[in-house]
Amino acid sequence: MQPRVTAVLVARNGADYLPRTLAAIAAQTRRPDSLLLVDSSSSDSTGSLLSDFGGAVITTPGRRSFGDAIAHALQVSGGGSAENDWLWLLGHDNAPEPGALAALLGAVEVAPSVAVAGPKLMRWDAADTIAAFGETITTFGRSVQLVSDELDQAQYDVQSDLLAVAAGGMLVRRSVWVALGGFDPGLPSVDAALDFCARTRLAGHRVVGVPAARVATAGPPELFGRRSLSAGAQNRVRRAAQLHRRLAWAPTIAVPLHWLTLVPLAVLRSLVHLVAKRPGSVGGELAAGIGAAFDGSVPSARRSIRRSRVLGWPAVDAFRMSTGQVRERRAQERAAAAVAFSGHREGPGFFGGGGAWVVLVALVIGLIAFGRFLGVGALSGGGLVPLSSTVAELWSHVGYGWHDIGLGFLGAADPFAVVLAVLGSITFWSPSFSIVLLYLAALPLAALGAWWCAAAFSRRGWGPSVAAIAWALAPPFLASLAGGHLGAVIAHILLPTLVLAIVRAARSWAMAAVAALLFAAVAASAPVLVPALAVMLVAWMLARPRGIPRLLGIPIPAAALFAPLVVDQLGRGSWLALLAEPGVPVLQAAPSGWQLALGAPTGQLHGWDALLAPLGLPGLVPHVAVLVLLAPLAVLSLLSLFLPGSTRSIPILLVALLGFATAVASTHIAVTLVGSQATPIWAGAGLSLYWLGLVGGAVVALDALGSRAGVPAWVAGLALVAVAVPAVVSGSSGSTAVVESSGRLLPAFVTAEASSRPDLGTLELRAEPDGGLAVTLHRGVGTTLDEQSTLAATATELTDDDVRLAQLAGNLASRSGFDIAAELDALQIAFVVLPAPAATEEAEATQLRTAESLDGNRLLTPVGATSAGYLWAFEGLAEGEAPSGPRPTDSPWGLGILIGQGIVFGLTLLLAIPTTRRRRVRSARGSDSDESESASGEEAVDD
Amino acid sequence: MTDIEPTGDAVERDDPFVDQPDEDFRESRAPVTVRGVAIVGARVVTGAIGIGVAAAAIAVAALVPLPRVASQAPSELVVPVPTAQQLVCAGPLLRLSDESGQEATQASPIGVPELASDSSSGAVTSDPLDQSDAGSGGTDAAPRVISTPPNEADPSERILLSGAQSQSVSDGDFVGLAAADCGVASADVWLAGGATTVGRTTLLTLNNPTEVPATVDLELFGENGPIVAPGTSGIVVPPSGQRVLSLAGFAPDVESPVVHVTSAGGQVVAELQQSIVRGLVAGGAEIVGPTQSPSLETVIPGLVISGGADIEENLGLGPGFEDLQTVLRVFVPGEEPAQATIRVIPEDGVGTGTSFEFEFDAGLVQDVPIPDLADGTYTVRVDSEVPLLAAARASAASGDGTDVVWLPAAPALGEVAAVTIAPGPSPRLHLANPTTAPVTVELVGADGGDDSEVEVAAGAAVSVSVDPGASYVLSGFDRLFASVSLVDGAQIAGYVVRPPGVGSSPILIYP
Repeated sequence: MQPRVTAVLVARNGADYLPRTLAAIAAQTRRPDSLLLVDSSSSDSTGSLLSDFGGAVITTPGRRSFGDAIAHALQVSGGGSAENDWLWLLGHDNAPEPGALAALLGAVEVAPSVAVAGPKLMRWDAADTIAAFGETITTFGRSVQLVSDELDQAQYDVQSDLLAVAAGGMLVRRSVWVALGGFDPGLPSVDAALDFCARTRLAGHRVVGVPAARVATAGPPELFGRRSLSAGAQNRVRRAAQLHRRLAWAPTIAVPLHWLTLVPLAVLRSLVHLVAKRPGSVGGELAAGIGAAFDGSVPSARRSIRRSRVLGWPAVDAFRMSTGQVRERRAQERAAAAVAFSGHREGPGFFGGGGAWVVLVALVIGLIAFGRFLGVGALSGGGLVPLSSTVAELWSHVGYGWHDIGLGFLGAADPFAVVLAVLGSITFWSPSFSIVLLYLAALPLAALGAWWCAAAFSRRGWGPSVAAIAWALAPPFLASLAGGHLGAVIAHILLPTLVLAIVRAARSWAMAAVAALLFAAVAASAPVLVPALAVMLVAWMLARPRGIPRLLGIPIPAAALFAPLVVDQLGRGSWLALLAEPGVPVLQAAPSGWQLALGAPTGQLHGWDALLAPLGLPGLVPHVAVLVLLAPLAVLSLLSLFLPGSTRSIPILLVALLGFATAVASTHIAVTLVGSQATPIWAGAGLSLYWLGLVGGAVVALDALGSRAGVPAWVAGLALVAVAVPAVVSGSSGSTAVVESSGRLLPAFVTAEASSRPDLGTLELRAEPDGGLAVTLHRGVGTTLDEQSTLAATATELTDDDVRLAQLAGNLASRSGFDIAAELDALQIAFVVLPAPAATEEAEATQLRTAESLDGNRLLTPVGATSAGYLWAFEGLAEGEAPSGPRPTDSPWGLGILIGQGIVFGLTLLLAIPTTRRRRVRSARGSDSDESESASGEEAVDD
Repeated sequence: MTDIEPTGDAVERDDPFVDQPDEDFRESRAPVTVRGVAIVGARVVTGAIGIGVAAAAIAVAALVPLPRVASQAPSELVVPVPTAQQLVCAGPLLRLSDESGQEATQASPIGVPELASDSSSGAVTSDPLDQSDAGSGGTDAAPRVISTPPNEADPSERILLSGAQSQSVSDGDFVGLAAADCGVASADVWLAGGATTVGRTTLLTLNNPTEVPATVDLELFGENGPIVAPGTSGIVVPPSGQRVLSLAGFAPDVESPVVHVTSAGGQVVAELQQSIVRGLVAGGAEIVGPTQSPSLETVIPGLVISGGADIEENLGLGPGFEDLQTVLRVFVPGEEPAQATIRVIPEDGVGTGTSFEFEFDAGLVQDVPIPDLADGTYTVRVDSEVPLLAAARASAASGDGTDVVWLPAAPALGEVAAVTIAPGPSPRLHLANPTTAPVTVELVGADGGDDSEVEVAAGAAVSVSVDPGASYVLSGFDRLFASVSLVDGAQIAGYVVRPPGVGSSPILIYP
């Protein structure tokens, strides 16, 4: 009996493909006996193309999947299901070659057991390339194309039994189709054919691939009727299909187990996606997992399999791809990719280009300046005090919780506490030691970072070498080190790396994640830099619109870190206070604009004024000396505008301008309060950015000078070393504010007592220049660096607790009838310490008065003069509880914030972990799209 | 359809941050083309703009006054909870022997002084110190602590407490009138007065009214400079106790002692008691209160010269009578000598004063005679560019009888002060106005004192007769010096008026 073939052509928005497809069908050597044209609610001219071709066009109500559209068409057209009735399933892009149907029929006629025959699918745009030929599944059930995108050299031209063939061009026995109920409605596109073929095999039929039948295809089934699909959406569709199959195919007993693992597996696989730099796939993965958990089509799919099954699963298992084969395929793919990516950029090498030498020089200068800290356990002075003594304490000061500052308050910790916790965890046996290490390594680290950054933009070694020297010996950096401005020091060390990461983030997810972490660290260390960095980021987004999704992610970890503090500060209405320098508030004079232009964040000129003072020269001489020594750098920077490469020199000099503006602004914003006085924000951080721009300009200029860069590089480098001489000398002679410390914050007597009672209070009374008295309450061994809070340092309104403390202090400093003993008991204050007063007559009078009344108070026993000042002890302290509140992990809010921040940072870290050469799903496109385009942008518009 | 894509960076040719071969640079070496000129021109313009922007930015930062945002440190003015105010009165004159002249190291009291006191709240309690080197602890002959409790209803009410005592003795070696105010305990006291030459006995009394022991260190200075002596440091004065020390024990045969008393722990009220015996004749007794600590402007109001003719006569009697002369005792601490202008201004503009320049050596005490002053009352002003301290000694004589008075430099009074007039003969209150504007001082009396108003011209001084034992509240001025004198024939005494204690003034706290 002659086989009767009904071709079913399903089209959806296929106007681009239909003319060729229809012509190809018409040109078949063995014409189909009938043709069902199905229009699945197209919005283009598909419908008219179909009706022009002749024959009835069946229009589906609403959008239907390929399988549903076929089912609908068969239902509408009716027709028998005789033994030799065949269905030829075609999509609008499946243009068959003239002999395709004949070859397929030839294959099925000789083997009655064959129920499904699939053609060799060729690329639409390249007829000599196999797009797909046969599908199978791995041992874990993932579907695999047996062949994809291979040049057709007849290497697969052996007709063979396959587990499955693609839907497009599939010739299927109509009776089998009807018996199996067609494609599973739960699989709208991907794996629908695979599932159908597997069921065919379970029903006792065979599936064959017919290499002689060649049908074109414009893309995989999920792209049917779509222009493109993002990698994430593609992953979602495939994963959803796989999970549907898993639930539908599994033995009944295993279904609950599979169901329970759906969401955990989705989360786990999402993390793997992050590590593999596929953040776009995370959403789809989770959606697929959750969708599968509530997939209502599974029971009917399972029923359908049960009803039609004749053979056992071994009939399918025989076709699975083994793990070894899978591994081999991957290795081949990786090797092919490595060949494709052999891009190499010429640049100076670290050892050959002088980087190693410069870092070595920075190491030596660093040791000259801070070598006296070798063997020291902690540093203090200026903005530095030791850190908490254990890592656990260090981390307990992170997040939203209780701060033992003043009488204590509930609020957000400074983001800087996280930086300190990370830093202190490096030397977990003695967290304060990490700061010593940082001081010893600061100069070489800065040199290394700057060299690395500059080398990425240079072809020769001169620019990076000068940049490294200029960055390691940057006057604002040395001033920050000398003054103990740890935040500015960390920001300075990280800035070049941050800039490099931001530049590269436009193209790489891993770099975007690295940039995000560095951005958070820099923002937390020097919040005053945030506006400038934000401007830079926006500018870079405008310059690289394609990188916007990655660049947009960069501020997220910083935002997560700052969010609680922002809420607290905005609640007070003081958003400028967000810019306050974290750490110990230090009183400092605001430098003039002229000094800032010379890179001096303090009122001094890098120590030149102090160095030249004994010579009795006029006051202008140090200015001129510094100006002359800085001139080569400034000249080189500005010269870059006159040389080729202005696309680089203009942005980098704008960065310098931004930095300068930041520095000027920070000297005009005094939000941090030190006792009775407000102190401007440390200008060092802004000046570091300013310096970055200047050095960057010089690097561009040196690079443009090419082989003539040697002399200017030497002149600039040596002049910069000379500028730093006084700062290095004062560092090595120990005349800086930062000095070695015993690690104690309070007198040893207090520390000894407080080690057994950590909530013991010590009241510090400091006579202020205006005759007032500043009060600080320390708990336990003292307020460590990580306990400092800008929220406390910028408070401009007194709380009830503050007033209570003021009452106590005021009465302690007076002859008074106040019940001091009761209040000391209530607040668990055991010590009063009176440090040296400010150097004014009023302060000394207040000091005398306070000392007299403390001396005259019979409750207090004078202990004597200590390193921290004169000390009194309240020996009659009753046992009690100091006022306290929930630690960050104790309140739901605090815990929630910590978990939220932890998740953000964990995910960013996963994304930042370097994973080389991983497989990545390229976004699917119609094969007519531009090849080069698909190579560069792995993320297209997500529909 | 899995595909492979490396995560490494693809190199984009149009990336400005990735090196481009410097084609255009080489191009500029090539023969001049229109495009080359345009490029070079554009660069020159860019560079010029860049330099301009840089110069403008620096100029704006350096020259333009930009607005500043500065937070105001929150503060709380804490008014200390008032406590009982305390003043310590000097107690009776003491002698270094018992009544029979034995036990030459044991001080013993001579009688009991007359004490007057008053508080603006009316309630004054008076208790003796518990311990005394004079063996009078707890008795009527002990120095007394007068105190007044705060107003319970309104603790912020400022209560003014004042007291003064006087004692007229004529008992063997002791003759004369001694008066003193009751003082606030302090940790830092300068005393200028007395002598330890032959016939002159000077005792240092340290009264500690507080609840904690006071550890007192003494610094002694004489006409030859600092005096180093054992036992001057670590003198413990027990709570509510009095120590009596003979100055001669530390500094024998010193004509012009100055004592600097510093205490740690409790605070003390320190005074000197001087008695003079010339030959066999008692020549006067006096209690010397603290003088103003070294300052640039020193004012001694109410220096009374009385019986000048008799003094002249007695001065002629020979050695031993020199200290009848009026002198100004000046000490310049530190290393720098002081060039001082000394002005002795007659009160009420009557009589003639004197004015002279004097250079004082640093580190030693100098007694500068002020001769030829007519009988009357004078205000002594010492102005110097180096801080110094001063006190004046004057004498009264009537026939053979003499008495001595030491007037320390008065502290400046601000706005309000209270004074109690010691019960004694013909007391007068001296008011010196150091300002350049006349003031009207209001006197509100209590305990028999009458209210009155006293005009004091700018830079002048006046005195008013007041009632013995009465108390007055002085007000209506910004800055004033005041003292009280008691003169009757060969009896003279005086003391200065001190501002109310500052221990309980409000204090600004920055939490």
